[in-house]
Amino acid sequence: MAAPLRTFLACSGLSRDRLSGSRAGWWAWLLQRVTGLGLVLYIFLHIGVISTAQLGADTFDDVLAVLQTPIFVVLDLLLATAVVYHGLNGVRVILIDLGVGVSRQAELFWACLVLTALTMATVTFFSLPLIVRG
Amino acid sequence: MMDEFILTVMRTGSDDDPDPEWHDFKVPIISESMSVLDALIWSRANSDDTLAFRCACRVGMCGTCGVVINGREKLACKTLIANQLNSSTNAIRVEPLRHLTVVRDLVTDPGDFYRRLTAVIPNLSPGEEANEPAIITPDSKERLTIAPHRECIYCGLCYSACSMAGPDREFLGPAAFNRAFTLVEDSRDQAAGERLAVMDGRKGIWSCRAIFECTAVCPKGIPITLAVQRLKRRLLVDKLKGIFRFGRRRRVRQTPSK
Amino acid sequence: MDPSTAAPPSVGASGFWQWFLQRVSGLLLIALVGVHMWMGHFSGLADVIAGSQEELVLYDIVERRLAQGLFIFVDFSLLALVLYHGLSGLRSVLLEWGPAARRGDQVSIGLLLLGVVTFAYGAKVLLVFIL
Repeated sequence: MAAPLRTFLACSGLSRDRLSGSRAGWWAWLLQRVTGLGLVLYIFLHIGVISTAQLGADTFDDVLAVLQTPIFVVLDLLLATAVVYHGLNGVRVILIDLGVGVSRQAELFWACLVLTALTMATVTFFSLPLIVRG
Repeated sequence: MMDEFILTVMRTGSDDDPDPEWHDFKVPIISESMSVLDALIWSRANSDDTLAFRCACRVGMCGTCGVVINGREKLACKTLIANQLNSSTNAIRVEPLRHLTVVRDLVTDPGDFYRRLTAVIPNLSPGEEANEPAIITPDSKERLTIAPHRECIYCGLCYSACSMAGPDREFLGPAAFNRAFTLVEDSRDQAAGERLAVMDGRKGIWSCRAIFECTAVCPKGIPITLAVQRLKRRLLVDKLKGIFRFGRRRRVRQTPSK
Repeated sequence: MDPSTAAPPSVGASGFWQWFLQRVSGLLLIALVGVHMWMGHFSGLADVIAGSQEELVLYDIVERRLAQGLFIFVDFSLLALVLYHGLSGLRSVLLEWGPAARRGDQVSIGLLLLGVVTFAYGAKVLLVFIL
């Protein structure tokens, strides 16, 4: 493309970035924050649960047997969804922070959601026997 | 087509009752290209001449008429009534810009906004030994990098929309970062180090969470967030280089990034 | 509010280190959490479905896993990093809130103590399996 044309496009509003108007970045941030706070709470819960091992192997096994009943498997899957989204969007944020893919930030957000959905669909499929057997 | 609509404006209260509240104006739709600013001017002329708002050029060049329309930052002169009304509502809500002190009705005090710009040394600082004249061709990488970011009209929409400027009133904000970027990347400028130090400091670029609200509302289509991320990258590289130099004195790069 | 009045938290005041370490720890956690979730939730799945193993997670299984040096390393690193990443993230969210920002140092030290204490407790629990 001729230099004067490129300069003109860069300076005028004609090459308006696809970013304009999109609220994808805001949703991505909100979800990152919500999953993050949820996961921080979960960490403490998780350490608490595993700490029942201090009460002996049988107590531990009993506690974990309850936590592997179908309702908890479903809760676990929700947890995994939060982890997967948080991690994927985290990678998106790192890319954007390094100046990579900034003009495609909305598409990257959709990609995070799609990948999260696909991953969780796969994981849920393989976990169905655990939910069903209860 | 409707022949009138309701312009709902957030107005400051009176001396007796200072809480801001919504005030409705019934405005006739004069033409298809009627803007929100036209509606404000009509309301002031025909309904209540105490209605306060700012405007100047009326053609989207000066950045004076920035307001929040239906929850989103926009220039009143560039926002068509027709695009804001739909089948389910014939009312348009207008509020003053966020994160700035309201003087009256839709007029805000831009002091906080300008203070942040001042903090990043917003003027070109060529230094004592500048080679005159500087030759930067239109198709140079430097010029093409900086060009979109120089379109800024300092309307303040980005600062109002910024999610980080809300809870944290000390955050320097998108317009300041954007302006700083145009100068830091300019090979004629010698104050990059000082500017980067200000932005590296508290409430600088590290608090930008790449939420992109600034970029979404910019009436000039400036990729503001891109400027911030490039500044982050530059500071990151400089700091990492500094760590690896151990005892040797760290100097922030004066020349633009490659 | 005058930008210069409130004192900033002294730890990580420039914000760069918080920003940088959050990303480094995040990337490391992708790998570590992946391994942890695989080991904890999926590696015995086929056996459980087949019926040859009662549950996915049992005391013995955890004990056996933690007899291996690699997993001792993984689990301790995971504990440390996840507490760091989580509490550092919580800190940056809290410091956006005015009342907390004005007591920035106290918030930071409070979270640091919480992290250290939780790590010590978690390490103690891990040692139950190892020893």
